[in-house]
Amino acid sequence: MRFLLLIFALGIFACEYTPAKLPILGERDFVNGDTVYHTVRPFSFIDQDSQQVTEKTFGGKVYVVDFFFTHCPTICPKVTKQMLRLYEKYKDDSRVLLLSHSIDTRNDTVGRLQEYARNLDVSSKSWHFVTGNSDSIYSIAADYFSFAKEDAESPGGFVHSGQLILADKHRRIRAFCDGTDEKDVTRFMKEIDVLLNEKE
Amino acid sequence: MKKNSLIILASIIFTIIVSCKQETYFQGRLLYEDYCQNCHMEDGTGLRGIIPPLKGSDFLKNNQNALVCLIRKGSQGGLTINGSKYTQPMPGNANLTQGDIANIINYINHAWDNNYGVILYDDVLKQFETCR
Ligand code: HEC
Repeated sequence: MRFLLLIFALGIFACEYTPAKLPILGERDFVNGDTVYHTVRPFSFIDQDSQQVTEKTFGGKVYVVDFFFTHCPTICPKVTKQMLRLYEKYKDDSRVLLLSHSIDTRNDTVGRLQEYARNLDVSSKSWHFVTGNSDSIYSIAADYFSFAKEDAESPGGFVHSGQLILADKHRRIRAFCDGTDEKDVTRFMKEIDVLLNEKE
Repeated sequence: MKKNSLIILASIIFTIIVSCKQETYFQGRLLYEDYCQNCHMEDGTGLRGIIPPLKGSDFLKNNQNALVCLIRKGSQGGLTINGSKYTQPMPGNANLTQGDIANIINYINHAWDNNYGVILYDDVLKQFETCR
């Protein structure tokens, strides 16, 4: 009986458990005895305030990525609402940035992204909405283990996932969540804090 | 014998409780989940500055005679709700029937502490006629 209780207690504990260190996700290579992790390739996009945004913008930062478009008739508003939660929590924490890629680069001009960010009342100091070459955006999505592409059959003309992806200061992928699910995003926020407290 | 009637009585009470628990606008909620919730959200609050709220919306309250067309045809953007102007368009829903639209309106009129009254099916038909 006491043994059963112990197992039960462990079970409850396990659900609450957040690891002290997040795994580094993706394939890895071993070169001359060193481990080389999957890393997001260098990039260059333009954000809502017409600033060029590159991998250097995110150097030394922890950042959260998603893929969306402003006239999306499906899940994007839900995902953006969860990104907004992250924004409110971390906007004054200079260690954390948010990066939303438009996948409808033809319609989402800088002007439209600017209007979107202004309506949402968020600043490019901590949240960049970017547009650019659509092929570069679709291929960077793959680097984040996400996907986005044009598809005439889908509502709004695009297919994409509603995931939020957490990258560390070396552009390695450390965690995911379902950006349409408030509870999963709450869990993800704990993982962001774990990453922020991680020692090298 | 006595035991049997007790069981029957208990099951009748149980059935009544279960059926009374059925929410009034259940069909409307299901349609809302499929057609509206992605944008206006489960709790009817929308998305700050981008998608207007339905919960506590003065527009919803004051435009009951324009709702059928709005839901069917969508909206270009530019509406003012509770003092804020919205610029995104809302897509139309050409495949919703008159009955679907009636169910949805009655759901949003009563969900999230809204209390905007009941729309009658006949009114939906009339509004539907005027928006072709
Ligand atoms: C793709 C996102 C989207 C979807 C899906 C959507 N709406 Fe809207 N809705 C909007 C936007 C954006 C506006 C503001 C439009 C404007 O300013 O012209 C709006 C405005 C409204 C309004 C008037 C303003 C208010 O908040 O009271 C109502 C009522 C409404 N929508 C109901 C619905 C219903 C019912 C559905 C489902 C059948 C639905 N919407 C589906 C985006 C959406």
